[in-house]
Amino acid sequence: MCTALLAVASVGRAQVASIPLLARARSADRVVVGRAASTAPVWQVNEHGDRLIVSIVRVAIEETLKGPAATTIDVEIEGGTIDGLTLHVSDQAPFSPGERGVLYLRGTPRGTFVPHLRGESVLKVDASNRVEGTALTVADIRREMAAANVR
Amino acid sequence: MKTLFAISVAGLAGAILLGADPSAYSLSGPAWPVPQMTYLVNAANLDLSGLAAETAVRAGADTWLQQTAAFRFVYGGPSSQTTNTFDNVNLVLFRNESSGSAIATTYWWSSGGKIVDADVVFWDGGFTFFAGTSGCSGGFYIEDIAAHEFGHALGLGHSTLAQATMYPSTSACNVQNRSLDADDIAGARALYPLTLPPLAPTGFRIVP
Repeated sequence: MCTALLAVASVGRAQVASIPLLARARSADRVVVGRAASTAPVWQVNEHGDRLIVSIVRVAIEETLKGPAATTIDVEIEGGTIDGLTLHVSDQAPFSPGERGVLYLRGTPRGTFVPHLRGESVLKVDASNRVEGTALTVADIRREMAAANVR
Repeated sequence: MKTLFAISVAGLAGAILLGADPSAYSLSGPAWPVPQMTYLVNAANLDLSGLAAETAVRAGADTWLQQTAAFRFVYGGPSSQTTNTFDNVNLVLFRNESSGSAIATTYWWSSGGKIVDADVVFWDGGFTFFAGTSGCSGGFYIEDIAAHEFGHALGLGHSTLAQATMYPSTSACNVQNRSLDADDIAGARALYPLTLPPLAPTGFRIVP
């Protein structure tokens, strides 16, 4: 039932859900709960040769659900604004300073992290610890990962 | 019928929901400063002939001709470019890579409230693409995915109406996105209002 809840909830929040949350967690390098502390947009060339604006979001970690514990982590999210030029990316929502979320992350060779499976891997959380637009809570996610021994 | 497969997540990115307006569409903010955008297609892909893919992309773009707003997409020809960047080239390409459950992603650039570049990437490594109206099995018709992505290129975010082309998720082999919903048309017209043709001048006498 819990798994079903998470799958349905992820449809409502992220508008996508071909990959249930537990499967996302299993294949991610890290899963953290945190708050965006700052963001720094930079030009970056990716592995395909695309030159894009990428926002490096420093996340203050409140809780590590998978992976080694840390106090902060830098997450690269495509999109941002430099010198008045803005890149919008249809499957990457900005994670702005002050916003909280559960983040499913994949490591990069640069020592930073990117959203694992792109935009469906940043679940913004409201003040009551619910994933925005859903009944899903951080506790639900924590409980399911623990039950499946995903750490 | 709309189910688990994602077209994209975050036209949500910066999307402006229209509050009390009963419309369900959203606008990403900027719009093109001129009433048309010319795009190129690199149709090299894993599933179809280049011609079939190119034709299907063009059909998806032409979906927006149905909306009778003051804007149109114009096909500018084929391209061999494989990179997506801010270069004033509006490009559609297929990439042999998966992107989670996103079938395609639109990257659009804006400055001063105006869209200045837009590129669409089909994630060919994660999904099988088809063209036309038959033969699809477990994949997606390019026409329908392109219609959605060109909506982002137009400046639209996602709609909350499941029947809208700009609804963020779709089901395998769906052919409904290539027909605009009234909500999609309303969104396009909000960005590019219809203009009446200029009235013929009256009261003048032409002196040869």
